[in-house]
Amino acid sequence: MDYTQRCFYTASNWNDENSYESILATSKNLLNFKIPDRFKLNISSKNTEYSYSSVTLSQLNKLSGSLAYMYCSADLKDEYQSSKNLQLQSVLQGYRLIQPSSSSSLLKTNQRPILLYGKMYFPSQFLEAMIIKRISLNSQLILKFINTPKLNKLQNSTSIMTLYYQKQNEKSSQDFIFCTNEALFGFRNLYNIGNNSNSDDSSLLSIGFELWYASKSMSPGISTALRYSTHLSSSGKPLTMTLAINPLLGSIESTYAIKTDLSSTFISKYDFNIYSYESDLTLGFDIWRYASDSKPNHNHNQREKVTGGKHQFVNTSIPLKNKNSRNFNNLDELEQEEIVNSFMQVKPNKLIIENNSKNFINDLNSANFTSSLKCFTSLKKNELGLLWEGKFKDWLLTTGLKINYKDNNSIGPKLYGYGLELQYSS
Amino acid sequence: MSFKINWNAIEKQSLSSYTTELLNEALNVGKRPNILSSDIKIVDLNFGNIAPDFEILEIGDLGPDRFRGIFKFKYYGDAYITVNTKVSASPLKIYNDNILDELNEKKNSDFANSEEVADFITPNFNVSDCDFDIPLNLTLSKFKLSSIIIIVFSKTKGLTLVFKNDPLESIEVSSTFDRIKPIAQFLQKKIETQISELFKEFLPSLLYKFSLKYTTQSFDQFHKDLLNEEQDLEDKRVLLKDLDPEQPLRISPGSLMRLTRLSSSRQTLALGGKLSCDRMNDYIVTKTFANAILASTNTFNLNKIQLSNADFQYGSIGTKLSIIKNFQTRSFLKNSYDGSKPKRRTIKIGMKSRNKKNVASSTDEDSTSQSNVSTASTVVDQQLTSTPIISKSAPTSPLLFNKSTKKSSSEIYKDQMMYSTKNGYHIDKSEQLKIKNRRLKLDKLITGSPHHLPTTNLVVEAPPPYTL
Amino acid sequence: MSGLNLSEESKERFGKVIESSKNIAHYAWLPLILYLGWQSTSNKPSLINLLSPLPTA
Repeated sequence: MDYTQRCFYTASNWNDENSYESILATSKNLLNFKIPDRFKLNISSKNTEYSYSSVTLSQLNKLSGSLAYMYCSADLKDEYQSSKNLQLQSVLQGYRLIQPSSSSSLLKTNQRPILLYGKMYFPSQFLEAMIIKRISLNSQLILKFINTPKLNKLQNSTSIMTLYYQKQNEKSSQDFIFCTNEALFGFRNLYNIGNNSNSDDSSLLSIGFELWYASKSMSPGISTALRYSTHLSSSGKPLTMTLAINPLLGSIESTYAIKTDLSSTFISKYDFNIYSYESDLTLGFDIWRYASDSKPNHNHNQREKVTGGKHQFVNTSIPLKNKNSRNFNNLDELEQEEIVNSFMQVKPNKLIIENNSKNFINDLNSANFTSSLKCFTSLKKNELGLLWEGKFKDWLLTTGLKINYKDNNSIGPKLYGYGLELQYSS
Repeated sequence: MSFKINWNAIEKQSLSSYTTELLNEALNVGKRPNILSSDIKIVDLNFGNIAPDFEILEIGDLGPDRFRGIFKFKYYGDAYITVNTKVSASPLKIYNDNILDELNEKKNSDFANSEEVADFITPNFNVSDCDFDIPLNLTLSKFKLSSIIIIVFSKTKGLTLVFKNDPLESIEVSSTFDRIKPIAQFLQKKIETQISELFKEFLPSLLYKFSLKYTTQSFDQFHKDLLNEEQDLEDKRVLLKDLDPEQPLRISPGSLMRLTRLSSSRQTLALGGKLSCDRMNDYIVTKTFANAILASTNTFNLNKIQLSNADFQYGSIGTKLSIIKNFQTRSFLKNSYDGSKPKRRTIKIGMKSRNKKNVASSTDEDSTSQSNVSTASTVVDQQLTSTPIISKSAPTSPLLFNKSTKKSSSEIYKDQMMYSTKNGYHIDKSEQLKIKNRRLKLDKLITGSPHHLPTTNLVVEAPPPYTL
Repeated sequence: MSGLNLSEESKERFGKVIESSKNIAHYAWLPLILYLGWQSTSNKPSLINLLSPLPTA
């Protein structure tokens, strides 16, 4: 369902990465990924053009399950893929390539798409519900609520509602959040600095903060974060650095993530608390495996990186008035001058960087991966987590385990949990 | 009526460590509250020197298997306790956990859903909900408690304790945050309410669980515990083993019964010990227990007059000796001198056993005097069944003499003859059995025919046998 | 606030109404989503087709 929700965002041209919520997404995806702790079977399908359904069975000690339905007013046929011909990198959460939100964030048919989602768990009969409504070109409303049923007289039903109002444009994004539990108010803000929308400058600096206040329990929360993402000039490999600070509790979290290759990422995170002097270093990586028949041709790519500069340039940067007349000499003087001027502006060095990064991204998007392995280890907590996700026939398999390799109480490594998840969608 | 609790008796290292262990376990049972990020550990526990005051206001119901009473409880002591834990100071982390907890509470079967649902509904905090733990040392001292408590005990339902009002009057809290006034005040307030809660809910439930452990235990096990525990009780109390350390149970079951019956009213209210085996609790004295006592009594000599250290302490040795002296001279004088050897008897005093010569130091007695002597000693034996300290009951022996000889003097005579021929007073098994039978008969006789009892009225000048 | 001068009884009634409407919302939510999906589809699929999450041939 997360996947469908992302499809919806893509279809409605909403950039969910342009939010403070996802400023640390890379490190969260690679270091705090969720490891299945039980056996789980998930089958979902697209019933009609506008409705989707999913059933989940999970077994830990007892069998439990859930049934989910979704309605979406926009047809997601371009985005939604069945697990048979699904690109793995589109569904697995790994390194987040940060791309500046496109200026053309226009709604396709000028409509306001809406998404309704409901999920009921059995046998507990908990209900999860969500409504996403696009209000205008650059704002949307998300309403999430949960409700537990009143099964007997003694129990009171719990219902919590969270409301998000999100606004975004190329330069900034704001979220207003209200949650009924303890009457929590939240405000998030993100500014994108050094992002010129009309160029392909891949480096992006974002600064954001969030403020929270639960008025019933009088508990405040604040954090501020900075993210810088760019591409290595030599090879176009993307890297992201973040620095997040919680001034209230004095904790500083810094991460450095680099995609060392098309198929691998390395990330390190260092936590430090200025009050307690506690620190922790967490390291993680992920490795992707290609399908055996579709290894990308690196030599070809290399060549293109060097030679493709002009091609790239012509395609995107220069607003040619007359596309048919490719011959420079055929153009009139004004046009010639224009082209020369734009050539003057472009630094070849920069061009190569941009070009490299673009190629990298293109390669990445077209690569046909079959599985990925994620691993993280925390030096202070002595934890090690492993997660393997891959495609097997038409199924999507996820398995992982988490261990504590040096526990104080027990001798030898201690297993926290392990599990297997099977997903099939059509 | 009020109690005097021997507070110093419980202030022992072992008890303190035991309580620490118990509290450590009890405090960390179940899920710990979200504000704590590590287990609560008791660093120091001291019971102080001042005992709490108990006062009985009312005893509503008292039976062998149930008890209900209202007490007044007061404690202005100097006990203190220091605990160590880690407090999570990240408010939004607690916020997250609270949502999860609430959902977990609501779930009716499994755990998994609540996690997913909580994940779904909570806003994704970035670093606002990071871990931040503050170690906390907390010392609670100067407890001032006073309350009226109701205790209801029943064998099947265990012990229920109810505080009628809030027992906590005041308490001193000192912690790592003493310097920071608002936090210190907050802690003080919080802990006061928590302790009130503890007395109101937690302690009763703990006691209840604890009592169930004992009431559900089989009584055989209970008695074994009882026998074992007798070995290591405080020496301030006078125990059976003090009378004769070599054989702590050198006392006949019958006299034990009588003794405990007389003291049962005190013992059922005893706070320190478990239930005693007395007539009030005769269902407790199961067959196996009685057999165990009988078996342990089989080995001792019934024909001894025993004096203990206690007798020396209480200065009753002189009177006892004179009683014996009187008795013996009378029996000597009553029977004319006929040249036969006098009957020797042994009187054991405390640890050392000495042979006491006849007071008259006569060297010979006639054969008839032997019969008298033997019956006299039997009477002492019979009295032995009624009191723990035989020598004290010695004065009664001449008075009961007539009664007891009525039936069995000839038989006793025979026995006694055999005793005297043997070295010392060793009695072999068959004789032991006979004596036992005889004793039972005598018991029956005494209890069965109350019209004989008036003779015992003459005993009054002797001190009651259970003053100890 | 109008809630202040409500009598105990009407408060209770109000709470009941809230409670029952919550219950209705709880169990009507999934059918509503299904209905919207069904209604917006042109060829009006069968109920089984709509309900079953299993892939249809």
